[in-house]
Amino acid sequence: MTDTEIPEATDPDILAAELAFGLLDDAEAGPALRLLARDTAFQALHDRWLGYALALFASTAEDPPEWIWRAIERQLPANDTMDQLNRRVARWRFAALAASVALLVTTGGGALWLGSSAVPHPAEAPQTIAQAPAPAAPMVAMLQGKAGVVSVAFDQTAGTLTVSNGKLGLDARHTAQLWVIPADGVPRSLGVLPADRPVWRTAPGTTAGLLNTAATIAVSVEPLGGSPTGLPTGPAILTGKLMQAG
Amino acid sequence: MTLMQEPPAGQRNGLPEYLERVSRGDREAFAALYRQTAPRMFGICLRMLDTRHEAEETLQDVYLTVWRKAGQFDPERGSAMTWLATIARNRARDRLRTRTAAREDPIALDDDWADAAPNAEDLALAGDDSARVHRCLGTLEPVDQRLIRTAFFDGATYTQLAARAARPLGTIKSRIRRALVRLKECLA
Repeated sequence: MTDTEIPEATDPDILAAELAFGLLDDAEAGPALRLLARDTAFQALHDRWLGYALALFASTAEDPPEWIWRAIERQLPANDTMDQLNRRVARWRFAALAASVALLVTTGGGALWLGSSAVPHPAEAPQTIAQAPAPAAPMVAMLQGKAGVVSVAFDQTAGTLTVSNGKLGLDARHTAQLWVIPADGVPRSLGVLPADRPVWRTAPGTTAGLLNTAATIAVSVEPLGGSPTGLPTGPAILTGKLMQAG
Repeated sequence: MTLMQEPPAGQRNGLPEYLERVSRGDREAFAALYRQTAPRMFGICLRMLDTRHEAEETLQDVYLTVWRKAGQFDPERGSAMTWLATIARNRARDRLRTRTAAREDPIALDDDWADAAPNAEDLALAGDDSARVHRCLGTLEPVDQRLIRTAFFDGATYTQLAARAARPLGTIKSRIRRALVRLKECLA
């Protein structure tokens, strides 16, 4: 063989093989990668070669040690709270359904089963006091999520909670409900955020005792009027930890 | 969550669906995807990198990349396993490149002994496709086999292979291209 007779990789199949086996330098790979991005026939060739190349690896499969998965999980972006909360919401939803079914069974028929909208609202619907600018408050939480940002301030002396709503982009059939999730993990309603007010103030009453730095504040999407079960039924869209300001 | 449990029946081939859910931040789908695919990706990392430590770190890197890029997977454009393996290979290759000393051990072109091929038991475990590729690779000249294996397993390009084999780039390119043509014919 002499160096003067270098066969060019004019055959797209061979170019695909070169790309799949990783033979091309960055400069050479550029045109091939652009072809890969736009040419479905070339993609198919490349995929087949990559399949062959990977078949060479198949005999080397090995279970990674368990700790690697935990290390990966730890490095995922910090939206853990939201994620765990949504998983919990799924459980609450199931529990509420199970309770409804139990009610249906104990009443011996379907007559009382009027759907979730007939389940009584939680008694302690927080009272809306006024819309006013927030005073400087000792406890604050910034609730964040894809839907936007809501800030919450709790004045321990006055026992009032002030909420600045951003636009949460909910449709007309849904409402945003505010919850406190204390250390026991069971959410308590702080009330439904009025869609038409940028600042909303409420007096949480007995729930105020739960507003401390161990608590998470969250907003969930609920039917108009708030959760029919007393626990979140829709996805949590915003969460944040309550912190001592100043 | 226990990672080693088997995925529920009916979800074993749901890799595209898992990737779609992962792109929306679904961690359970991510865990399931990991359960199903990590052994093969780990195999790639182990084979390409010298130490277990590097392979373990690179495997984390691979799945963090998968987490970020899951939305870029297009099922129209190829299999999910291939997409994942491409990421694994690229991350392993990046890792090789960041080393202060790239792998430079010489490749001998003037002997005829074949590199150790996987044993029959390994091949049986790996499935038909793998056995076929290994068989076809085995029909090539030993030197060509070594070059192709080195390209893939060491992440070596034409240029690096030429340097390691101490041959002109053109010689290496033409040699490997001819070998790829033969491989293609055998696999057809």
